Amino acid sequence: MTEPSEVTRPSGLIHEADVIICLGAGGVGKTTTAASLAIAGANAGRRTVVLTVDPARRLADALGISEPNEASDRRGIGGANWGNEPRRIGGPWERSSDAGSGGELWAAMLDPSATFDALITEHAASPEQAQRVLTNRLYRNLTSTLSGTNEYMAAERLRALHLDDRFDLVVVDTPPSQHAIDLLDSPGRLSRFVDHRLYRSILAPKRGIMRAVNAATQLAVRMISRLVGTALLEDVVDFFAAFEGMDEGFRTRAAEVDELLGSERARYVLISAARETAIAESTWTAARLAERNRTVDALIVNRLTPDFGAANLDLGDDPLDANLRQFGDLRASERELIATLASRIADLGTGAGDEPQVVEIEERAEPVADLAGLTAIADALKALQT
Amino acid sequence: MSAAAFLRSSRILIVAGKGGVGKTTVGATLGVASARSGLDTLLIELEGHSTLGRPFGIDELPYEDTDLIEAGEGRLRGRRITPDEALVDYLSGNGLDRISGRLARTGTIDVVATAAPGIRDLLTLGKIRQIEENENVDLIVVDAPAAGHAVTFLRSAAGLSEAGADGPVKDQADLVSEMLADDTRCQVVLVTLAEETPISEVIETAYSLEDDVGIALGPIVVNSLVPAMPGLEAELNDLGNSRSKINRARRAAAKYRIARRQSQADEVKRLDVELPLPRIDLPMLFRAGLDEASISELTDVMLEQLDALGSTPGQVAE
Repeated sequence: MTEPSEVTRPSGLIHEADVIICLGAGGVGKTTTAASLAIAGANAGRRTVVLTVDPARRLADALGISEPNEASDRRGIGGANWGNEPRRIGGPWERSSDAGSGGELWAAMLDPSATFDALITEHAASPEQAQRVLTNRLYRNLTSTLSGTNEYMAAERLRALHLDDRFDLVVVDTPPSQHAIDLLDSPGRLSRFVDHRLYRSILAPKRGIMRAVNAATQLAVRMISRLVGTALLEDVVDFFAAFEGMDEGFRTRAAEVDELLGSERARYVLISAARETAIAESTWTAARLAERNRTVDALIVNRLTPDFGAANLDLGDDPLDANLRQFGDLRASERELIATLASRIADLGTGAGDEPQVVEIEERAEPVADLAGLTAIADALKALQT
Repeated sequence: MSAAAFLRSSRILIVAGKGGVGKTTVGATLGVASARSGLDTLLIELEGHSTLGRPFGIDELPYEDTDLIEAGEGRLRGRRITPDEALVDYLSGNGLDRISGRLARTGTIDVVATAAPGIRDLLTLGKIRQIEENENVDLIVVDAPAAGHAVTFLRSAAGLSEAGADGPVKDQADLVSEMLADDTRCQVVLVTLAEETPISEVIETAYSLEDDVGIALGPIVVNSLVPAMPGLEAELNDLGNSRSKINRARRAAAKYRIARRQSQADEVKRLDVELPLPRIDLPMLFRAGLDEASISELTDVMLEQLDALGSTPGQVAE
């Protein structure tokens, strides 16, 4: 077994990664953790931007990105596009440190629709073509209906921020999808969508080209029309007619995004909670990551019951001790789950027996409400700096 | 109203809630509670690799009905429904079985799903409706998609009709809409934690389910409440300033419990004001795993609390 090179070592994650992708099931504190990782990055002297997706109100306030976010604003056509633009957050990280000059912290909120609109505008041959696509009903439904679209838009923004000279570390909080891993599949999915031969065959009559379409595909086209009726099929045909010629640019871009996600510049942090359902989801995510030849570089377990320092002490039956015992038992069962997850991840890894770096974040009695709370978590994440 | 009366008040209970609030646990608990009340119950999961089968010793529920528990007169079976499998079923039922497998495999469902927003959800709901109509089951408990998506999921039928779908999809959408609007057939049980974000989200989801979907809301389940420990505060006060190791631990743990309980109580109070629905409180169990014993313990509490509930399916008051 070869020793992993210095660059691939997870131990220096915060220093070595250009992009940190946070994966985790819903409700595990992924957004909070991503923000804290970004603070840890800034504290380590890096110019860091965190791309968050749908943060809770108080977290958005803490990050200074809590502008109104009405659906009308999100709808990028002529509307505001404030969310995608990173905002700088001042803090102690701006003072110079051992690592050299001070770090920076920026935060941006993902605006999938505005991102998609910008992509269309960029790839369209003319403003007229862009307008035709942007106003098509199917297109307007796309971000909410084509699964993986929001994930792809997160990946697209990630790439843009990665290429932006202002930043040297991008931390991405993935959208709350059914499966966090969808982000990795999303470039392929979108390529496949704009490329789909069914659409080509639907379009063939519009182009006036008679093409030999195989019988099964014809049957499939008939089926779609039979299933959904002709009105919806018309929208589809219009959309792809308007989209014509842009598919090449889209595919190229998707391939670039895919390359970044698969490269060593991108590192994966799995965020979990110490509960059976979250652990099961995490195990599944780690396995999918392994299928793509990527490993979990670090495992962050949130909301672990605190250690009150009563291990090995003799406890009685009075309320104070019964209380200690209950939380002690809970913590023990949580750590058992975490150990199981860590060893399963190790089994998936390329170097057998390599457990991911595990950082445990203890539950607080009060929810994390401000930058100070995030900074406290960032301090716990310092382990990822060495 | 007795627990049995509630469990018989509709054919389908859709359990919905934000990720991480214990929706699956509550779904399993309702399923066991129903079986123990003598009902022939079917538990349905809608996502792959969920943990719904775990407490019953099954890693992943199959597409076919699977026996989970027998409880006297009642029993509990479980299965999953995924859109791809529902599509294959649907196509087979429409004489297209020759190509159905290939269509599901080659991603054609993406194409269909994009042409007709919500069709995946509609196919799933259509399959549930078919089970409700054709199978001899007293109660169907559905572990719905996570909260934000629950509204989209349940809105799919209306959305497709509005988008101008016709043909078999329109027929299916009409049948599903009819089912969702009928509170003797279907109601939603929302699950939340007593924490800021889950509470805010569940309130929003409740109003949107009522206004945009028009579906009846059953009781709301507040999960994982830290139980009271009688005498804890008094003993904490008696501890004084002792700095021994054990007393520091006792003090920290007691304060932790008291603060957690206080912050949960504040959130529950906010929930009661903003969403006046009958409430079921489930305790936090002091173990992280989800085993049969945990579900059994929660079932006892669930049955007790259902017995104590008043009235018919709830409505968000104006």
